[in-house]
Amino acid sequence: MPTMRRWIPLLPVLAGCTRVVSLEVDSGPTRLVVEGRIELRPGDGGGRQTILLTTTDRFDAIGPLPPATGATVVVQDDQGRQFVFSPSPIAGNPAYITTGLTPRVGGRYLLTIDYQGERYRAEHQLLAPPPLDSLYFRYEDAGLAQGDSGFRAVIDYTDPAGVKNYYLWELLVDGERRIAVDPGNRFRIISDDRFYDGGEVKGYQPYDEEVVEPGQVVTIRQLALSEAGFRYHFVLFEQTTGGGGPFSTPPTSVRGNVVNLTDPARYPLGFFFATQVAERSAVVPAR
Amino acid sequence: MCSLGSFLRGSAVLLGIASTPVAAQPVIRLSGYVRSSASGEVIRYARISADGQPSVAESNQDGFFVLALPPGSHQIRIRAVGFAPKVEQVTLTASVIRDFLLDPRPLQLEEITVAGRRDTSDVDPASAEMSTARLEMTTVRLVPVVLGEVDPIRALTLLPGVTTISDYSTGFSVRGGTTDQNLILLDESTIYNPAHVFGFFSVFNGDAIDDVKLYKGAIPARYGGRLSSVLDVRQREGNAKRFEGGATIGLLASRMSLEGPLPDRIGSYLVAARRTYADLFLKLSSDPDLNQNVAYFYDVNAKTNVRLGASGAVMVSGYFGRDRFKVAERFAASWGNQAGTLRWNQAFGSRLFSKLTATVSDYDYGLEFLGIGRDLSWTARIGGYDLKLDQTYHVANGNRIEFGGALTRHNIRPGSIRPVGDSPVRPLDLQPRYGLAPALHASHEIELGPAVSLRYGVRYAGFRRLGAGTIYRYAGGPLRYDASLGRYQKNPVADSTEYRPGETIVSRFGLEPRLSLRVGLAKTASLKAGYSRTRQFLHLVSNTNSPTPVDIWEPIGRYLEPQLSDQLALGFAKTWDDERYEFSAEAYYKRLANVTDFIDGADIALNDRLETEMLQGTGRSYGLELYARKRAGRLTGWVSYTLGRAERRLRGIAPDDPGINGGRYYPSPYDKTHDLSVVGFHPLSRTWTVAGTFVAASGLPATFPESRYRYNGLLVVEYGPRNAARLPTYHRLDLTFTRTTNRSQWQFGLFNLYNRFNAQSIAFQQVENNPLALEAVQTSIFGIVPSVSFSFAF
Repeated sequence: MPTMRRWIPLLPVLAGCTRVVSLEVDSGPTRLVVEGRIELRPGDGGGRQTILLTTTDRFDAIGPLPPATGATVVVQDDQGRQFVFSPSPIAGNPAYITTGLTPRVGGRYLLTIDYQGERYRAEHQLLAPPPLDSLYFRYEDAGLAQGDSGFRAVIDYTDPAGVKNYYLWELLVDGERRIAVDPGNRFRIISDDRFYDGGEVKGYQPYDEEVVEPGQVVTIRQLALSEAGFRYHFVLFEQTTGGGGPFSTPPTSVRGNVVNLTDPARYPLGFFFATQVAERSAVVPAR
Repeated sequence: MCSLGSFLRGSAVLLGIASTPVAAQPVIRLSGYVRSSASGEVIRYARISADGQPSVAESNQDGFFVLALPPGSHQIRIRAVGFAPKVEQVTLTASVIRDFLLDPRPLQLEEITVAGRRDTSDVDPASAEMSTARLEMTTVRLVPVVLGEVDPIRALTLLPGVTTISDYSTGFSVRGGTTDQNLILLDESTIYNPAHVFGFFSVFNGDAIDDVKLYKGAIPARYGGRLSSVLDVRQREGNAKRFEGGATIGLLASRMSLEGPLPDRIGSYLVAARRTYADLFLKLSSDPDLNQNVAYFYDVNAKTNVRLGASGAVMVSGYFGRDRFKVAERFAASWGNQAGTLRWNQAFGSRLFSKLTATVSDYDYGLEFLGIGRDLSWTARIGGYDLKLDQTYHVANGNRIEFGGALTRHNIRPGSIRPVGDSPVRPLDLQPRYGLAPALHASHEIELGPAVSLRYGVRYAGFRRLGAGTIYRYAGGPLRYDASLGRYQKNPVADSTEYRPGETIVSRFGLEPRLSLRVGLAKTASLKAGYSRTRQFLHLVSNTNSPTPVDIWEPIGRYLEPQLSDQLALGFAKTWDDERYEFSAEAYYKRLANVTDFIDGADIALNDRLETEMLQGTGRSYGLELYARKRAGRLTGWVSYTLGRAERRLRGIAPDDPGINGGRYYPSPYDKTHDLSVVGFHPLSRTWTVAGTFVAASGLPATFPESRYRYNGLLVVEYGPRNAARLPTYHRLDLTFTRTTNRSQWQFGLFNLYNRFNAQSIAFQQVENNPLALEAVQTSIFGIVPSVSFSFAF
C-alpha cells in the first residue's frame, strides 16, 4: 500500500461566476417610504426643508419610484411652531417643501404625515457634528482595492472627546449627489467613534471609490446621526450591497423610525432625522 | 452465552456495587494491538475472532482489542480493510498482551469491497452502533473531488444525513444542524474552524490523516459539548519500520513529509507539511497591483509515538496551520488553528484499557484595515485546555464498560482593536470569556444473547462561566419589542456586576442519557434504536450565510442558556449475498431547545453585549435516511438518499412579541428536503478505474424580495419572510479516471461534468449602471473543472 502520496494538480480551472437570473417573486403590500431630514446649514437664512415621500414598487419594476401624492406633511418643533410642507409643483417629483424652518441645535422635531387615511409619525432631536477641519484631494493609482486612477476627496476632522458621535458624509460633485453601491459603504460613508473617541482623524476618504476630475467643485457634507440613525444606515448599506450573497448578512427588512399610528402592521419604510451640517467645498486641482 | 447474568454483573460494576465478578468457567483474555507489518502503525476497527467461538472483537480507535477465550489452542482470524486476512495459531495458558501484524495489500477495488469489513458500521446488522458515518481513506481517495484535493469531509457528505452547505465550504450540516454544532476532533484536540482559503480546502491534509468517523446520533457518552455530531479524525502514526521522506513541488502547493522509526525502534514519527504559493507568482509580476498582494496557506502535521512495551504507548501530536491574505496596503487577514495532544494509552492487566489525554487547542484571526485615516488591527482568539481520562473495562466478551471524565478550560478573547501606524484609534479589548467545563461519563455495552445488544450510558456535563468579567443588567431584560416601530430594541443598562477572576458567573449542569439497542431479526438483518441527549455551552455567533474566518464564540452566560438536543432514531439494517449488498434505513427526530438566531439587522461585530442582538428559541428536525451499497463485483458503489426537514421557532420575549417570522416555525439555514448521492466505481482494465458521483438536492432556504424602494439615492429591497423561498435545485455529475500502477497513480477528474450553473446564493442589488433597476444575481462557484494529478509512493 502506498504509504506516501504526492498530489500534483496540474490543470486547475476555476469557473465560478455570477449571472443575472429572472425570478418570480410575490409582491408584498405597498408601503409609504419617508426620506425626511431637517437640516441646519451654515449661513442658511431661508430655512428651506425637503421631505421625500414615495411608495414601494414591484421588485422587478424599472424606473423612478412612484411618488406618494396627496399627503399632508407637517413638522412641529418643541416650541410649538408648526410648519406645513407643500407638494412640489413639478409633477412626479416626490418632494414636499417648506421654507422658514430654521432649526436649532438640541431642538426636537415631530413629523406627522397623513396619507391615504392613515397617520404616520416620527420624532428626532437635532444633533450637531463637529466641524470639518479640512478638505483636500489625493491622487490614487488604480489598484485592486482602490478602483480607477484619479483624485479622491480627503478630509480631516477631530472627534469630540467623551461623547458618542455618529457620522454620515455626503459627496456633491458640481452640485450633484454621488453615491454608488459598494460593500464598503457601511464602513466609510457612516462612522461610529467608538474606536477613536476624541481622536484627530487625518486623511480620511469617505468616498474612496468616487474619482473626481480636475476643475470640478467638490463638497463634503458632514452630518450627525443618532445611534438609531447610525444603525439604520448601517443596515441600509449592508442590505443594498448584495444582501443574500455567500458571506453577506442574511437579508432583512430595513426598518426605520417612522410609525404608522393607524395600523402598525402597515409599517412605513425610511427614516426621519434632524442634523446640523458641517461642510467644505474645494476645486479639484490639476495634477 | 448468556447474559442476564453478565448484564447484571456489568451493571453492578458500572454502578460500583460489585467489585468481584463471579467467574463461571476459566477465561483467558487475549489482547493487544493490531498493526501493519509494513509500517507498524495501528489498525483501527480490525475484527478478531477465534474459530468455534461465537464472539468477535473489534480493535478500538487505538488499535487495541480484548477477546476472552477458554484455555487451549485457537485459530485466530483477523481481518481489516486494505490488509490480507490473517489466520494465526495461538495457544493460551494465561492472559496475554501481544501485537498482531497484518500484511498490507495493494489497493484494488474488488478486494477492498470483499475483504474489508464495512466502512460504516451502522449498517452492520451485528453491531448496536447506528447513526455513524465512516469512510476508509482508500475510498475517500477514489471519490471525485474538485481540483483533485482529497478531502475526507466532502466525501462524508455523500453519505446519508450529512450535507454540504455549499461548493466552497468545508462546513457541513448533520441532520439539519448548524456547522458549529459539529465537534471536530483531530487526535482528540478540538479544531474550531476547519477551513483554509475561506473554506475551499479543509485543514485535513490527506497525507497525514488515517481515519475519519462521524457520529450523527446515538453519540457515545465519552463525547459531548456539541449538539449535532462528532467528527473524530485521527492522524497517522508514521512508519515504525523504515524511514521515508520526500518533497514535491506542484503548481499550486508544495508538500513535504518525513516519517520513520524513532531510535532503537521505540516508536515512530510523522511530519507532513504543505504550503500553497500562488502568491509567489504574484510577486514576480511587475504590476504593483498584483505584486503587493498576498494569499497563501500552510499547515504542518506532526505526530510521534513511543511504545511502552506491548501494552502501552505515549503519543504526542500537533497541528499548526495558517492562512494569510492581503490586498495591497489596504486590507490584510490571517487566521489559523493550533492543536496539540499528549496521550498515554495503557492496558492494565488484560481487562482495563486506559487513556489519559491532555490537549491544547487554539483558533485565532487578525484583520487589518489600512489607508483609511484611522488604521486599525482587529484580533480575536478562542482556545482551551482539556484533560481527559477514558477507561474501557472488559467484563466478558460482548460486555464492556467505559467510564471516564474530562475537564476543559475555555479562554475566549472575542476581540481587540489596536491602532496601526499614526492612527487616532484607541486600543480596545472586549471582555475575555472564561469557562470551566467538567464532565463524567459511564456506559455499558452488552450482548444479551445473539439477537439483542444494548449500549446505555450517561454523561454528566456542565459549564461554569467564570470571571473576571462585568455582567450587565438591563431594565426589563436585554431586549424589548417596540410594537410601533415593529422591531426589537435594546434596553438601557440598569447596572452591572463585577466578577473577580475565577468567580462563578453562571453554572449549568445536566445529565445526558445515551442509549442504543439492536434486535437481530435474522443473521443478516436487525432493527436498531437510539436515543441521545446533548448539550452545547458555546455558541458560534456568525451573522453571515456561510462560516467565515471571523468567528465569534460566545459561552453561556446570564442571558444565554445552553442549547439542548434530544434525538431519537430508529433503524433497520440488512445485508445480502454474503455481505455483497447492504441496505440501511434510519428515521430520526430531534427536538432542540435554546437554539439562537439574530434579530433583524443585528450588529454583532465587536459587540460586548451580544445578548441585545439575539433571541433563543426551539427547533425540530426529522427525516428518513436510506442507504444501499453494492460492495463486490465489477461495479461497486452506493446510493444515499435523505428526506429531511429542519426548522426553528423564535417566539420573542413577551407573550405577544412576534419573535422571528411571527413566532412561527421557519426553515433552518441548512434545511434540505431531498438530498441524493449516487457513487460508483468501475474498473475499466487492470490499471484503469472510473469513479463517478451524482448529487442532486433541494436548494437551500432563501429570503426573497417582495418589493423595492429608494432611500438616500440607493434602491433598497424590502424582503418577505425569512427563509420562505428556496434556491433552485442543485445537481451535479463528477467523474474521475484513475490509472494505478505499482508505485504511481494518475488521476484525471471532471468536476461538474455537464457544467450545471448551481446556485450557491442569489443576491438582490442595484444594477451597476442603472440606479433605477434591481437585479437578482445568482452566484455559482464551480462550473466544469477539469483536473489532473499525479501521485507516487516510494
